Amino acid sequence: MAMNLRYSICNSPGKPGTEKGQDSGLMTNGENLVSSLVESAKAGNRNDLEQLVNLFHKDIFRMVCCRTRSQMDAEDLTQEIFIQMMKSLPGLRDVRRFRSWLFRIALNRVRDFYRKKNILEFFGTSADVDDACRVPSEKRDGPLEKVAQKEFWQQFHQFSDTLSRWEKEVFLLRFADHLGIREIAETLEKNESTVKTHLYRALKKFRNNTEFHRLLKGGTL
Amino acid sequence: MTSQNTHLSEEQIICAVVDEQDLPAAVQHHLSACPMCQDKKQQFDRALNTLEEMTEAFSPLPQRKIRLPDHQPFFGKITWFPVRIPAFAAGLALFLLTLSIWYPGNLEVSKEKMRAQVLREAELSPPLMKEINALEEYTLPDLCQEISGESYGYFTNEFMDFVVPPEESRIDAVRSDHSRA
Repeated sequence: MAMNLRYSICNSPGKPGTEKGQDSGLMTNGENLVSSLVESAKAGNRNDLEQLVNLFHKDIFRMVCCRTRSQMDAEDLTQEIFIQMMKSLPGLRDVRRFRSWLFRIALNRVRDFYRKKNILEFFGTSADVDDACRVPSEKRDGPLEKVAQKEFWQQFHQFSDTLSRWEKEVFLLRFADHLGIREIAETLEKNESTVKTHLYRALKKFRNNTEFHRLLKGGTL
Repeated sequence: MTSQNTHLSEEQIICAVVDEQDLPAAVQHHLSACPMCQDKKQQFDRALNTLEEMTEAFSPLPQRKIRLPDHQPFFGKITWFPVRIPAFAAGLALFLLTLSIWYPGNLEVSKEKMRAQVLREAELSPPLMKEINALEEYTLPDLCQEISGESYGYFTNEFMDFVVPPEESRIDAVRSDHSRA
């Protein structure tokens, strides 16, 4: 059940005018189920809390891993994020905004992580381990896929590093974390038109990046 | 050529991908009717869909299970509490630091004030001044004075009169000698 629900939640925002965006039946069911789980977890139901964690574990881990580019750090941060979620859940007012609220917690944790890392780097005590390319992906295939995976992430990070801070944030939330415009606006606490402006600029740069485009066209999915 | 007949520019295609509703009505109308512009938009959409799918497929899987604490911590419900403790500690440390910098100077001033106050009180009370003078004269206790030889406890007034007779007793003695003679 959790897997089906996860599918429906992950595909809920969609892009306007695309097949995913028009899948409103699943979206409503998924959101309703999450809302009821959140309500129940807020009331102290341990099982529902665990279900909620299982439901978002992969999404949050992927989000953190994409930003920290380190499996070990991502594992630790994901654990911290869910503990923070558990502590702050009684304070959540609108349960329908749970997903964006959880992503906001995650983003703040990632920012804290970078702040600490910068301080450690300043004192020369930071252990910079970049093992994102060495970890098993969802598709645990042969060496060719591993090479494709490595090349994809290299291109992806190379491109995302050319974006400004907010362009990058919006682009990642939209295409790596699969959030909708409204959810991104709630996560970043910005209005929707600002989010659209940043997304437009990021997409313009993406359109001009021919190398990345070529890689996507040759994507074997 | 009206805007309904013009094909969508690159910017408008991107804008349509972000949110089609943000395009002017005439451009939207053209997009819905023009297969060429629709194809352009769909190509871009497909590239973005592939990007989404690839980010998901190539993302690593979490290896560790999330372990939630068995019981909500005591201060778990009061979400501000853990934040307040370090803030309070930092505030207290800052206050003590400020106090330690500011207070010694202030202490000097208060010492002077205290000294002036004591002197004023002393002037108003003669017995107190007498005591103070006595203390100044014989700063050491009796025992210490005896040890140091400053005490005259053994030599009474009679002994001193014998050693150095006072002027009156000498005159009396001279008179008595004359009368005998």
